[in-house]
Amino acid sequence: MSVSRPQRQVTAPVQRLSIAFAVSGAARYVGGLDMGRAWVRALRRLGLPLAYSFGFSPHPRVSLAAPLPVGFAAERELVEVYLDARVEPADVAGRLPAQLPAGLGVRGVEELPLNAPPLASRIQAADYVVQFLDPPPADLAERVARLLEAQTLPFARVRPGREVRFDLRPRILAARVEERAGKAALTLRLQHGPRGAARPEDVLAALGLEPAAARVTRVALVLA
Amino acid sequence: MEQDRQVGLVSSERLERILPTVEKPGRYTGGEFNAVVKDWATAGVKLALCYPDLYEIGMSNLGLAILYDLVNRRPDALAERAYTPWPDMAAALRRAGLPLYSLETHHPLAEFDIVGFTLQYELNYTNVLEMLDLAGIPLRAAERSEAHPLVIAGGSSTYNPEPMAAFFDLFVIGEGEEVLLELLDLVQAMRGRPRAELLRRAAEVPGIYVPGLYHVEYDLEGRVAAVTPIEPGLPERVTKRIVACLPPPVTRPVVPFLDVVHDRANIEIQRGCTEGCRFCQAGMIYRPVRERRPEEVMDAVEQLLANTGYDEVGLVSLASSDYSQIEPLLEALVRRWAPEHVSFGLPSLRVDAFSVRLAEMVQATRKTGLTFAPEAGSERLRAVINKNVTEADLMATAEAAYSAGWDRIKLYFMLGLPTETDEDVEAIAQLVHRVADIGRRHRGGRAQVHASASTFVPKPHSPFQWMPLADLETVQRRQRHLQQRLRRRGVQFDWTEPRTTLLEATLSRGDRRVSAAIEAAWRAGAVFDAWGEHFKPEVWQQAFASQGLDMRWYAARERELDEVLPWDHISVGVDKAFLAAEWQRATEGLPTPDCRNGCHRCGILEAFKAQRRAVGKGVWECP
Repeated sequence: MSVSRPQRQVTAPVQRLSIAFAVSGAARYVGGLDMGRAWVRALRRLGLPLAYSFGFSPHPRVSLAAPLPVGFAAERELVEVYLDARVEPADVAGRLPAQLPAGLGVRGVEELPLNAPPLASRIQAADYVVQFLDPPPADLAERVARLLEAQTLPFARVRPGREVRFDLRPRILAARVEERAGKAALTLRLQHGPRGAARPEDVLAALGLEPAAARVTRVALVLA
Repeated sequence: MEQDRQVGLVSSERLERILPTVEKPGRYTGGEFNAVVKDWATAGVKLALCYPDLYEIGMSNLGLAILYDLVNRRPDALAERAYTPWPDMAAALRRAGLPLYSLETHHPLAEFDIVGFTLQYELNYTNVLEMLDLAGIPLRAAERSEAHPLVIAGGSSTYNPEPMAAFFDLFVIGEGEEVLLELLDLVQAMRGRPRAELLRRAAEVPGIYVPGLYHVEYDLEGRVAAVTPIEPGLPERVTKRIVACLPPPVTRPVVPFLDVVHDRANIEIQRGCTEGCRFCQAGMIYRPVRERRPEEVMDAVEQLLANTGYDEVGLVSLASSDYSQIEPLLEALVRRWAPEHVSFGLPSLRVDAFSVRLAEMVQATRKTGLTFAPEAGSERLRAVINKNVTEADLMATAEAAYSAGWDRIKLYFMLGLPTETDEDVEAIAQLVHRVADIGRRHRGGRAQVHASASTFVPKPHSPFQWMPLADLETVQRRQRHLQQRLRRRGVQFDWTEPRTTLLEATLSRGDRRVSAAIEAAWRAGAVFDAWGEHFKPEVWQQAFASQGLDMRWYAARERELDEVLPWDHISVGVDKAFLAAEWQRATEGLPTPDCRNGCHRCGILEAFKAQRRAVGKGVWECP
């Protein structure tokens, strides 16, 4: 009674690409899982020969280097993808934009060595720009300076149902008040990865500012 | 941001402050792949397509996707989408003083020419009021002026439009593909003319029902005595619209970012169903049965996958196993697409071994299990409802499924069917145990049976339309009986909340006085009634009482065969006499075989003679 089904070819991937992309507009409100799925669909629309994992329910080997928090814009996020056949990265970069939703933009496509560690494990820090929807307090620069002068910054990150306590100070690698389009903005480099991550909201909270009234852009991921 | 450039938009900076404070803000931002963003300034006629439930539910509706595609293909029109904001977002919009807006260009709904809702489920009715209120549009048609959009509805619940009559300027009865475009033309042509004149002209379009132009009389017992047009020249009965053959399928649907219900590419392979189950409204209202040719399905799947990037395709129909070319179609689809990791979903499989073979071919449901709907436990009761499945069929199906490697079978039953006895209910338990025994034999401890018992709601335009909703105490007693009888390892049992059923039955079977109760319930906080955590039965009881109405009178009163039903002035093309004859056959336990094999003269061919003649023989599955 079983019906013969075409056999899928099972081979090792032959190429690995890293795609850098920007996030704006409505795409800012897409969570990490949903963003991963959106990428798989975009790459399928493009007709790339995606490599699939083995096993009972194979899934395409497409992964985000670092899921972007909901609400953040981004200038250079990374997604990596394994392929079953070789393609020309420049050709992918040229044809990909037509397959992306309005809020995603291509910033570059590069080949990665097949045996290099996953991008996700190489991220050490991320750079952010925080713009303020309301005029920020006049003493913003002093508050930032005080923050950086502190040796330790005991901090409690409160999430529904749990609270995480850690020292925020070593996770702030840089913080500066800058002028952007005539308005004060805060630029941050924050630690990311297994040694502990800080988020821009943590810094805003430590500065006594309201996170919901800020527009955060992750401008770069810093790789080892 | 980008969207601030156009005038009249809900400012995205104001939205930007709200969105981080609500759950899943992606519900409210649009921007999905294939969303159609047209130039607002140059669009001739603007339609908001609304689904009165959460984005994740509404995005799975194929009907709205069809209309969205059709309207946006027109150079002189645009269609944009809106869904019901979850209570957190509704509260945030109200606090911020922002109106409900469309996803594509963030225009307030009140700025569209037409605001159209699809009504698929009665427990969404309060969400319609919620959306109108958030949009700043007066709830009642009678309170709207030239300044307001035309507020319209279509969808399967509008085959009894009366309970929602107060809130809609007009209803589109039946399949919307042609009539909606005719309405857009009319709205264009009548621009600047008085609203009353537009409505009067619309009421002359076949398939359009303008409730304000019809008068309802009641008899001394409060039953509907007559529904009559208030002016000459209007149809006494409004007959649904159909399309003579299925229009080309949507091949460029919006691809959501969020994980929505039925998140896959969908292709309608067949509309309507010939099985003739007597409890089933869909089987009556979607007649005649029309199939899409297999070659057209193959082409459409090719385009759908290229345009969406999905890896799953749902073959949509009311009864997949009945599609005449189903096996060769599946073979061709699997041969073409399995190497590209595409799977296929087959809803509504018949209870037989053939269906298990189909499911084996597509493999898509291996993880979730196979679902079958015997509907009733005893052969006697299945004969009453014309579900012509024998116990032997079900056992053979279970054998086939478990031996082919499935661990899990899901079985759908209904409680409260007309003539149901305790013995019929006990028969459900026995069936489930026998299926579980078969599972155990083939799959050992991994075998599972999931039995689900909903409560039957007698729906308008079905052969059981005259029947009362079963006494809910009896239903609850029978639910408890099954609960006790189905305590067994590997067997799961669930059932529906009776008070939800009472509301659904009331809202499906009501007359237009029910509108006032719906409004009262919404004013008292009823919204998202289909969501257990939001359902407020006491609010509904109070709302009906406040209007001097009784839910049980509407839901649980047996109606006389010669009684005027509140929906009698709406025709689905199936004769009331046919429905009554089917009811008679039900009481005698007589089967009415699948009408592909012989016509039972339901009336559909007579009602749509012209369309049938236009397409010729062989396009409809009527013999």
